[in-house]
Parts: sequence; C-alpha cells; structure tokens
Amino acid sequence: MVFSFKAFVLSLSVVFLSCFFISSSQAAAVDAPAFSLKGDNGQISLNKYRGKVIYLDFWASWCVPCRKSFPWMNAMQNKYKAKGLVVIGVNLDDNREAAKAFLSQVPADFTIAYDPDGETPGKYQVEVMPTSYLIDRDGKLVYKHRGFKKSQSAEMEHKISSLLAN
Amino acid sequence: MYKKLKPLSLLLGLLVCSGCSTMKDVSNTVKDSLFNYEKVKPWQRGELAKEDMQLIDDGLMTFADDHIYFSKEAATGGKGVGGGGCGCN
Amino acid sequence: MKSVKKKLAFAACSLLSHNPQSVLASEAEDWAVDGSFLHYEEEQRITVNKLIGTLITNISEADRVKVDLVFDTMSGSTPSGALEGAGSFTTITTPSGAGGFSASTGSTAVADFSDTRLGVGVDWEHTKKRLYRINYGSSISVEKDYTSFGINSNYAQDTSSRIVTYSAGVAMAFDDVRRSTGGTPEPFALYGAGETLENGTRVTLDTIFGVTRVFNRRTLGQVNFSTGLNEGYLTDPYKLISRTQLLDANDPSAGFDEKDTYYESRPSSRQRSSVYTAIAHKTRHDNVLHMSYRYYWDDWDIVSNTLDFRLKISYENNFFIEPHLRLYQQTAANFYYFSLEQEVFGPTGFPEFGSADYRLDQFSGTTVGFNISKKFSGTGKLRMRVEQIRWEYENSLFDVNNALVFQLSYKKLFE
Repeated sequence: MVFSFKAFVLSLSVVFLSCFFISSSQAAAVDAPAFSLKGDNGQISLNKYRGKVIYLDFWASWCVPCRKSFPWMNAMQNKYKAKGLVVIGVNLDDNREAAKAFLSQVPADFTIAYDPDGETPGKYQVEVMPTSYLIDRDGKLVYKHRGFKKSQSAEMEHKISSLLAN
Repeated sequence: MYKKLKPLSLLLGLLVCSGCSTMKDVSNTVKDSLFNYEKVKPWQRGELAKEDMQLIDDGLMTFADDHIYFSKEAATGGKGVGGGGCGCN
Repeated sequence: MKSVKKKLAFAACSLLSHNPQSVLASEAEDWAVDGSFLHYEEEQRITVNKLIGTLITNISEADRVKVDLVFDTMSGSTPSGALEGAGSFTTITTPSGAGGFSASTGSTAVADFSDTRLGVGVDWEHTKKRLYRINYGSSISVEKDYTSFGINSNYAQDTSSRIVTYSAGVAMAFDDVRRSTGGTPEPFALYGAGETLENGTRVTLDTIFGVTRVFNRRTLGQVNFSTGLNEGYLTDPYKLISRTQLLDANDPSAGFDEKDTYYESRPSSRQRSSVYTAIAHKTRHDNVLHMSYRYYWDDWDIVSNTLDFRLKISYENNFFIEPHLRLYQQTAANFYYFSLEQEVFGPTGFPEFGSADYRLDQFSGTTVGFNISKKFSGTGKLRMRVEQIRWEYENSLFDVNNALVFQLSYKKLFE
C-alpha cells in the first residue's frame, strides 16, 4: 500500500481550514418564527405570549448540558415570572417517554412544549443542542445562544433582565 | 487461514439467533448504514449520543483486549480517536 | 519467559486508546468509576490476573481528567523458541506432524516465570473552543524486568455541523528492557555463555490521523491511518533459537537433531503502519452492531488482517447480550525461523537476524465469545465477558495456543 504522507497531511489541513466559519450569536432583530406545539395542558402558541419576554430553549433527554441547564432555567422562571418572563422548553425527543423520564429526574418549573417531528428547530436554525433564544415583548428574536455553560449564565441573566426592563 | 470460519460463524449465528432477528440485522445494516447518507441535524443525535453507539463503548474491555493481542500478535493499535456522540455544546 | 512486547502493551495502548468526548455522552454525572477483574489463561502455559481501575471526572466545564491504574500478576511457562533441553533429547518429530511435544526436565523449550506489574496513566482532555479538543496523556509501567514511560497528545476538531471529526495524535514511549537477572544477552551467543550486555533501551514514536463521520442517525464510521517507529533494543532477552541438522538429508520428515541453542537477535529498528476502519450501527431492531477491519504492515515483512464483529442485543430490564467474533491473520517476520538449519547456515553460521519467537511466525487467530451486561437504575453498569481465543501457527514448535478470557467489570456514575 503506497500513499504520500505529506500529501495526506496537506489535504487534511486544507479540509480543516475550509471547515472554519464564525457564526454570530447575535441574531438580526427579525420576527421570531411562529410555532404552535402540544404542551402538557393544551397548545403552546408563540403568538399567545406577545407582551412577555420569552426564553425559548430547545432540549432533549439525551443532551447532557440540558440537564445542567434546567435548574438554572427554573431559577430564572421563578425569579422573573412577575416581571413577565416566560421560559418555554421545546422538547425534541422523537418519543414522549424519553422526555417524561428526563422530566421525572430533572423537574421543570417552566412550560414544556413537545416537537417530536423537529419542525421548530429548523425554523430557528438550531445548530447545536441545546440552543436558547430570547424573544422580546414585540415578538422579535433578539438573541441566540449556542450550548449551555454555567459560566455564561450570569451574562444571559443580565440580558434577560435588561429585556424585561423595557 | 480461515478454515475455522464456517463452523465458527455458524456458532456465532446460533448464539446470535437467540435474539431471533439478528441475521436480518446484519444484512440490513449495509443498506441502512453506509448507503443511506443523511445530514443529521443537531436534534436528531439521540441514538448517536448513547454510550453503546460510541466506537469505543467499553474502555476497560478495549484496554484489556488491546493488551492481550499486543502481547500475542505482531500487529498493534490503529484505533482510539473520537467523534460521533451527541455533538452537544 | 515473557515477551517484551507484552510489556509495551500498557504504555502504547493506553496512550492512544481513550475516547475523547467533550462531555460524558449519556451521563449527566460528573464522576465515573470503572473497575475490572480480568483472568487470562492459556492451556498449559501462562496465566494472567489483572485488576484495572479507571476514574473519569469533569473538573470543569472544559476539562475532563482520566486516571487509569493497572495491576497484573503473571505466572506460568511460555515457549522460549528453543527446541530442546541441551542434549536431553536427540530427535523430535517435525511440528506439523501428529502428536504434541513434551519438554523434558532441564529443557530450554519452555521456561517458568512469575512477575507482577504496576501501571498508572493520566489523561487530560481540554475543550479549547466549541469545536476543538486537545488531549494530553502520560503513563508509566513498572515490573521486574521492564520499565516504560509514555506521553501522548491528540487533537480533535469537528466541522460546524458536527458531522465530521478530524483527529491527529502523536505518542512517544521510552522503555528499559532487561532480564530479571540483569542486563541483556549478547545476540546469537550460545545459551548460558557470552557476555551480559547493558540493559536494552528503546524509543517508540507513533502517529495517528483519523476521520470520523456520522453517516445517518444510526450509523457512525471511522477511518484511521497510523504509523509508528521503534528504535533501539527490540530483541526479547529471554528468547532462544536452536540450530538443527536433519537426520536424513534427503528426507526432512524423518526428523532432526538439535545442535546448539543461542540467544535470538532482532533488528534495532521497526517501522509499522496500519489502516483501521470501524462502524457502529444501530439496527432496525435497536441492536448495536460494531464492525472493524485493520490492515497492518511493517518493515519486518509482517502483514496482518484483523476483522472484528460485535452485536449488542438488548433485552428487557436493561439486559444485554453481545456475541463477539474476531478473526486475525499475520505473515511471518523476514527473520523468523523455526530453527537455524545447518543445511542452510552451516554448523556455525548465522543469518543477519534470527528469532524463533512464535509471535513472529505466520499464524491465524480466532476469538469467539460473548459479553453480558446489565444497567442498574441509570448509573451502574455490570459486564461479564467470556471469550475463547485459538491461535494456529504455521511453523512453530507448538502448533496451537488456546486461551480463555474472563472479565468482570462494574461502572458507577456519581454527581
């Protein structure tokens, strides 16, 4: 078997470089895409929350950072509910049982919506699990955050409270 | 070299048929796997996230096997890099 | 008599056999402890008992540390490569003939040994930015006649869609090899005679380049290219090779006479390469199939093929049965000899290098086994594995080696 090691390393480097791109986590202030999904107690539709600040989170039972994010989202919902924050966690498991099993171990104090067909994350251009969005009181999508890290949660809370101040 | 192959694969087939469906599994694998390419979305990685779906799914078994075969055979290594998984964060 | 290669195992294997994930894939907990007891037993030859422990912890959101501990005890007897006791037998049948071979007392053909080994390894994985991970690892292995120190580093990068991962890794190992009585023998010196030379030292450099791709929701594939270089003392200080003379020059099947026995001699350099490909696929029946193939070649003219299949079948109550089949085949090293035939080398001549170590012979190996596992309440996993390995040699004193492997492991996750 003969192959040129140098050529291989060179072509690999080219492929590496061509895969770079930097994407902004700051979305242009467009209308947040509408959705209407099943919840635990009836339908969850985005347009019903006009006037509120929405923290929209896409999660799944198999996503480890999602487990870490729930206690923080619970804290945010409880702390800012009176000021008009609504946290909506859109579950993307393809079966309800997996979501239920997760919720029985990691309870949610916020609204859960189920999207097993995965239509909503496409509209929101989700690139990684989890991804969270901030939607202002006028229904505009103002912020997109990829992943969840405790070290970044303070900054996110700051953004939430400044949106609520409007 | 592989004169033992036939009886052993028969043995394997017997072992495996206790699951009843597995001989079909192996034949469907080729169809379902490499030739069914799709651009998997980040929220569709539930199966790939599972421990059993990692290429090295049991580190201690792989470690023990590597040691045994390294001591007894000339060929070594080859595996051991990552990828796949849930792709989270 | 031990093979020096066996001792390389911990250093080289643990260097590159980690599973770099930036988070514990399906485990939310921050700590994982995994322990294993392994029993390896060859028919009438060596027995190894091994204890392995691994601790994995996420020390921060971007850092994961793994610590490995191995403790081995080995005992039994193993072929030295020599054919006979010095002068206690004068004739034996050729190895491919019927019947076994029994060594007389005082024979050098097999030798007893017992030894213990301790190995420790550490690995640190750091997620630099979202898509990039880097690993640093180090390991040490110590036993009476072998010490090894290794370091390694691996870099992994995902494409933004995380469909493809590119990896590049490098590992180095530094070994000290000696007989338990000290030093190393003079190559091709008569057994029991010759100078005792200083300890053998050896450096190993390995590199690996890999591409892992998600083919679809239920299939993951990988291709790795590896190359490695060994420089230094690559001989086994315990292994021997005998000179033989045919009893009847016109009839090789009539048997041969063993003349002298010498210490073996191997080249001081070895360049190795391999291509490895693997697939993990979840079948329509929700069973997981793992298949892999490796093609290996080196400049000792050894070429080998390895094929491995595992099918993990799930049953109720988180219970799994996984049958396993592994097929291995290799050609002989270009300096491997059953014996130094006087017809070829004369009564006192030698080839440039020569070894009768059966591990360098042409042979095939078949492993059949199964692994039973059970998951407990989400955070515990028990595995029990039984395997039978059978190696068949083309041109060695012992035609066949059978081994039994038993391994019991338990893994626990903690917050």
